[in-house]
Amino acid sequence: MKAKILIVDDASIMRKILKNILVSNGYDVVGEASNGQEALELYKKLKPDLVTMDIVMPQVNGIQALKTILDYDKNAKVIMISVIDQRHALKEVIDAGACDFILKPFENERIISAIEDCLHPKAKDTKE
Amino acid sequence: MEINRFIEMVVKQSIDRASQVLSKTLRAGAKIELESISAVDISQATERMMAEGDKEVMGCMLDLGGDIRCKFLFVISSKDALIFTDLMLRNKLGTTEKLGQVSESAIQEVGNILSGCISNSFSKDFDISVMPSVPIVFTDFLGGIFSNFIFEGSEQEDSIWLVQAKFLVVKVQIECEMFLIPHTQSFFHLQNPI
Repeated sequence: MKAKILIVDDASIMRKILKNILVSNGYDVVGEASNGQEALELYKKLKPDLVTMDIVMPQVNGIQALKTILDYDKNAKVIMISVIDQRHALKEVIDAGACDFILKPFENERIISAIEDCLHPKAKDTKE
Repeated sequence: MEINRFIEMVVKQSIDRASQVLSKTLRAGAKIELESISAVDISQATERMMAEGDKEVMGCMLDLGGDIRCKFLFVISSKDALIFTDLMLRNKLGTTEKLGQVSESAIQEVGNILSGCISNSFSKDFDISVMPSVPIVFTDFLGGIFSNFIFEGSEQEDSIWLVQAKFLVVKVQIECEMFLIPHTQSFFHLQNPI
């Protein structure tokens, strides 16, 4: 079954670019949101397997939206995709529970490998 | 108003990185044609841009905030914004024929990526936090957009630091410009920890 993905980005062109990449790689883009508030509403309604989330957005930003979605569903899988590559922001999204972080501009392969790793995490090496 | 040489070097490095990121975004080599950092009189700077005022452009304006403050503007002619849109969408050139939501969004995203790159550069070089605001996109005459930018960036000072970078996207021979107005007081304190 195709994995269901929700795209969250305030730039419609980025949503279009991401949708093209995801659909051509066999994913089902079930919804698109342009801010964090819409993202939460669509998450509750569509129950996607994974969310791609921008950080800098109007009204409710991506970090706040990430936290709200994880408060609602602690098993939510959210990949942050942003231009922000700064230690404090990375720490905040990792601490909040983001599955991965991708820096814009990105290569298509990076998106697909991040999604696969989040959806099908490999068992961690437990050798002591 | 003297410009600290170290800050000048850091700003120039951030513009170099922005140029590389622009190339990657468009998958077309972008080189810096002109780069200057100067203290300018506000009325002179505005007059200079007003002289080019009949050129219709798309502009993306935003603020960098946090440990430093800076005003950011990216401008491109409306005609070239269509080519940018096609490059970003990996479309055949000429596919986008009219300005609209998609081309506005393309310019918004280019502004977002360039300002993010500048913010990251300052953040790494000075170990500070700098976040861009949500970009606002305008379609207007260059003179109008630039006066608005200068007015908002000057904060009632008579002169400002104006950083100007002109990029040439080689593959399609189009030019675009990026301007920064660093808030001088917020930059002066950067000298201390270094």
